[in-house]
Amino acid sequence: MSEQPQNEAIVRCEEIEQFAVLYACDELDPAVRAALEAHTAKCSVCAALLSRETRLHQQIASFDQPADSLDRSGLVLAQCRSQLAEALDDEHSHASQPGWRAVFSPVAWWTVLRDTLVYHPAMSMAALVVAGFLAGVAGQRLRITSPASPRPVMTVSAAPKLTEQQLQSAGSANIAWVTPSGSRTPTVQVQLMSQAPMNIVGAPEDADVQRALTYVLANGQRFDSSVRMDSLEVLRTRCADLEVRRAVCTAALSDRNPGVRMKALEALQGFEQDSTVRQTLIGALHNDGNSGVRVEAINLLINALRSGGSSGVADPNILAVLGDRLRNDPNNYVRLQSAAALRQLDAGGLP
Amino acid sequence: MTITWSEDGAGNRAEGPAAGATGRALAAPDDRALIERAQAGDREAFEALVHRYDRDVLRIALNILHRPEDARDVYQEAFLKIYKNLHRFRFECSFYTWMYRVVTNVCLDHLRRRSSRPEDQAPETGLQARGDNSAGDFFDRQQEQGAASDPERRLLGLEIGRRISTALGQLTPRERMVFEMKHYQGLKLRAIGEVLGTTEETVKNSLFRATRKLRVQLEGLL
Repeated sequence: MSEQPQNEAIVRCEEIEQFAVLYACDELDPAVRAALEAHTAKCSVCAALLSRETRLHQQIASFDQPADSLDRSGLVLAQCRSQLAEALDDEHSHASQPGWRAVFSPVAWWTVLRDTLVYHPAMSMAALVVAGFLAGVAGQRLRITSPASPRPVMTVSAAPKLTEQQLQSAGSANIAWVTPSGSRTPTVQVQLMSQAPMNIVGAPEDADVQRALTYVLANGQRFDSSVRMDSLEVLRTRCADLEVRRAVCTAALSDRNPGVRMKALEALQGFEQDSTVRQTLIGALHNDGNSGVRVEAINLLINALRSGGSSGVADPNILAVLGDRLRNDPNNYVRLQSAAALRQLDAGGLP
Repeated sequence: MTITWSEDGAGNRAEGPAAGATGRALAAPDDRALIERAQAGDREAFEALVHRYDRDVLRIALNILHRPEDARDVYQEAFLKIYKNLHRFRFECSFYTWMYRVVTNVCLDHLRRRSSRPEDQAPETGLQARGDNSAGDFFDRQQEQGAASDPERRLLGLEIGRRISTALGQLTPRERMVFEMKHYQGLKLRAIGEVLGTTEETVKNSLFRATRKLRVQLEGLL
């Protein structure tokens, strides 16, 4: 460093370390950059420092970033988007229900009552005892004061069946698993909000419960995604039913929430031989913008091809979609799986 | 309300991270229209904004926190904050800068919380954890096949990667953030200063300190 550089006023040997960092990061003004290059052309020590800094920068640039390995398939991004959509739905539903309207909402009252009972068990037990006592006293008085009458007439009527019109007028729903006292089998409680709110309680295989949940799924645009998710959770064991399966297929193809679409595809597992299910898988693989959904679709489709023997090979739609995905899918996993499936089909079927 | 997932929603990037980030910071001419619609309560417009930037946001979170579950938390927390506070954005700086300010604050909070809990340190990244003969996942193996033909170079590359990871683990949250935005997001120091709400000079000093720590770790390998 004995040489005195020509541009000493701008670049001095003792400053070279910091200048070198900025040089390597392309953060120097052109004039300073030129002065630095002129200086290092004459000063071998500074030239070595600059060269080392440039190499360090190159090493950093070629370093395999954690994001490259942690989300190679894009699944984390898909999950993030799905969770954000859910959170935004929640925000939206909270914002769209003004306080004064909540006062008249049976759901809001039920929520407050339920939370109060859950979080204050002693108080809820005392309230139940008092309510029972009052009911008993009131009942006694009624029996004492009522005039003698002939044998009381008992009217038995069957619960009205859920009509199509009732379903069509339902706007929002609340679905919960409840375990009746004395029973070990949980039942599903579906509350449909409309002009006349409906409360349907029954096992998942109960016709009305199934019908209400299938309706929610098939008309997803009118219900929150959390409700659609809950419906799928209940119906996933009921896909043997044709109506349910059709609704799940509709959700897999057209639900606006990718989480719901993925869950719908999961629910279809085991029914890949059904032509409608297969068309659903092809449609999801070909058209869905979400890589997670496409990954789920190709996995199921390959399962279908494996279990279906040669029946899938003859389907030109499958070959066309696999070829298209192989060439055009932005997701590595989908491309690789498409290629593997096509290779196997060429060789005479999947093992 | 409709959620439309764009065709490239698979998390794949057509451009490099640095190019993408810088380009977006400078360009994005129709951000204003989208922001104004989102400020008026248009969910679709907000989601379009999210999809425009969320790959970079997730990338930062993954690079900084090294854990997908933490990165998901940061992603969600940051975008919910942006959603709730979008009405406060007055176009006094670029939306990119404003958004990054929120994201970096959330990331820094996570890093600080984590550094106060020694038992909750980030796991090793793939590169750190991957030994010379470890299997790794399918895609890792695909990538390594090219380098396998030159074992000496591959070993050196692995050693350098390990040391860079070690050095990055020694940086303070702010230094880590500056390093990430400079080297992997390709932002200019002035833009980083705007995002972090500090001067360019302070950012430079953080970069110098970070580089010095890296240099010490890589001594003898460069």
